[in-house]
Amino acid sequence: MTSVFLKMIKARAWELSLTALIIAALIAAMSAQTSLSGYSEKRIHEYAHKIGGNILIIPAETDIRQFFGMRGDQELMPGGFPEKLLESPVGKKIQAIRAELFGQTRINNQPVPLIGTRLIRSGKQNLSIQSDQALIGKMAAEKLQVSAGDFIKISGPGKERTLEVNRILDKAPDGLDTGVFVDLGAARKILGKPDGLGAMRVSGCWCDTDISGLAADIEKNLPGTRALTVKGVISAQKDMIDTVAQYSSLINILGGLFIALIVGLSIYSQTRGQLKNIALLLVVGARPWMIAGLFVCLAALIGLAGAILGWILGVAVTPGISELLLGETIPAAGTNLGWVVFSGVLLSAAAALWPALAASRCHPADIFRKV
Amino acid sequence: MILQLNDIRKEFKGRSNHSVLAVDDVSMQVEAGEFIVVNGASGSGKSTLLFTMGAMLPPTSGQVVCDGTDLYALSPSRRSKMRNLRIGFVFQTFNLISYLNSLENVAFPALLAGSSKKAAMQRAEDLLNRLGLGERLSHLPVELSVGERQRVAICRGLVNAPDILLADEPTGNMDPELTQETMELFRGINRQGQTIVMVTHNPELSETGNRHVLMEKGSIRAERIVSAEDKAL
Ligand SMILES: Nc1ncnc2c1ncn2[C@@H]1O[C@H](COP(=O)(O)OP(=O)(O)OP(=O)(O)O)[C@@H](O)[C@H]1O
Ligand SMILES: [Mg+2]
Repeated sequence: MTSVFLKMIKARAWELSLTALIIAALIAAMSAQTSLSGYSEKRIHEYAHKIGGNILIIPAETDIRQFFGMRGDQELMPGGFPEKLLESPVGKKIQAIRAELFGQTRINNQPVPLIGTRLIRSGKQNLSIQSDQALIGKMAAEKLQVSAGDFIKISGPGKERTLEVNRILDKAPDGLDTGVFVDLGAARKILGKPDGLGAMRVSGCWCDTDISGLAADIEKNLPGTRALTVKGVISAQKDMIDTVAQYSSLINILGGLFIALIVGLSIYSQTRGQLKNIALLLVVGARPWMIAGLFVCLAALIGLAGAILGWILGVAVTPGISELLLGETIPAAGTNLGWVVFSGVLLSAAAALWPALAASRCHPADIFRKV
Repeated sequence: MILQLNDIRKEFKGRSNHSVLAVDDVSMQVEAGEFIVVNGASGSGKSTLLFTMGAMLPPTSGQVVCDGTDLYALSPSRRSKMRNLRIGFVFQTFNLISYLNSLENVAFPALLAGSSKKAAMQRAEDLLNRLGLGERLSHLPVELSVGERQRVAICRGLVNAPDILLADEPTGNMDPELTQETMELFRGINRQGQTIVMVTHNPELSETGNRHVLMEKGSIRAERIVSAEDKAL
């Protein structure tokens, strides 16, 4: 008997496959969307973590995402800003400033981000680098296969320099495990930027300080800069996260409704196309619930196929979509396959209920008159 | 008695508020072993009456009683079961399922009745053999001639050994020669004890059965037992 039903379905299999494919595409898009919005939220927490207890000062035009991703060409602010800040009324509250310049370089013909850094007024932890030495992040060291004592030739837009690797950093500052740290002066030469700074990290004891007020004061004293604090980053991004989360649920609901609509229409069209056969099956004794059950099961199967395919597709396309939209390759956040399948099957079966029941209640006598 | 119709009325409500009284107060009994031929002009309500008899079309009022139960008081599911087990249908346009071969078309109602696949296939094959279609078991309907298709449909109607076989214009698509052949087939089945109600607008076929019912405008105009002597004449 099942084989009879299967033959009935086979006649219009292409339509069913098309429906499953559309569902798969929708689910893939929804899961990519979920991955992306989840990722932006995670990333903002990463930023906050990287800023830590410091205040990060960057040129106002700097794009935060590019900054933390160490991509693109860095915006610069005047090289004299650290001193200017220390001399300003705010200077009293500051223990140390780490001035930085980022840039892209090549070592052993591989791209490696270079961080030039100098500690202006020392605090507790003193990161001092000789001008002919380099500290190298753990991941960068693995990638370049160098160890302490080796010499590396760093070539950038400016002069090429050979430096000795002083140390491999198990824990590079700000999580920059893929970077190479050199003295600010050396970095300026390699990067061909004789003056200017990309960022300043200001540390101090803020215990009884109004940190947002301090940040605002810094911005006032250093025109054209932005002073970021953890609090500032989080509150600036919170609205965005909320909006994204809101859209995300809206998109998922709309996607779900659309899937239900597609399945409902497809099953409806199946029942219309098979009306005469359904009438016949009823006449020779098929029970109405068998007919309804057949189409509900069919919808559930479409939902199952669409969900599994969509999940796989989602995993496959998320990196590409994120590259396209954010300029970063993001792996698919592990949307739970079980959950996707469960909701896909349930939604499809529910959507088929009405057309399936309608078909099972048709009056054979009327149908035979019409055809 | 196989089937009893009590005061059957069937009214169709048209779209523009005008309604058609297709069957008007018909009462009738079908006895075991009868071969009833229902005759009448086109539009006189023959098909409507037959579908109502066959538990396929609820009457506006009246009852169709089979084995002590009113068919239309049953749930759709129980009614389907009744149809499956007790009633066989043959249509003018055969209504075979196009993607099933002869054997599958015939066996399907038996499967629905709960027979094992083997038993259903065996019974279908026996019937098809009996009606001379032993060579056409795995042919699809499109691969069969008109007469062969109708014979497959008759086999399907008979596969669950129904109490009654209902046929609506079974020869409507046939030339006179094939019509005679098919009528001979029905007479043969009837001689073996099968109760048959056949509807036709062809007056020449009224002598085929052993009771003749003439319908006109939804009512029974005349009824006549056709005796063996009549046939001999
Ligand atoms: N579903 C329906 N809706 C509206 N009117 C209908 C419907 N079915 C039948 N009728 C009407 O009922 C009347 C009887 O129809 P029926 O099909 O029973 O006639 P018939 O005797 O079988 O005719 P024929 O010999 O042409 O098949 C006709 O006037 C027809 O128009
Ligand atoms: Mg008719």
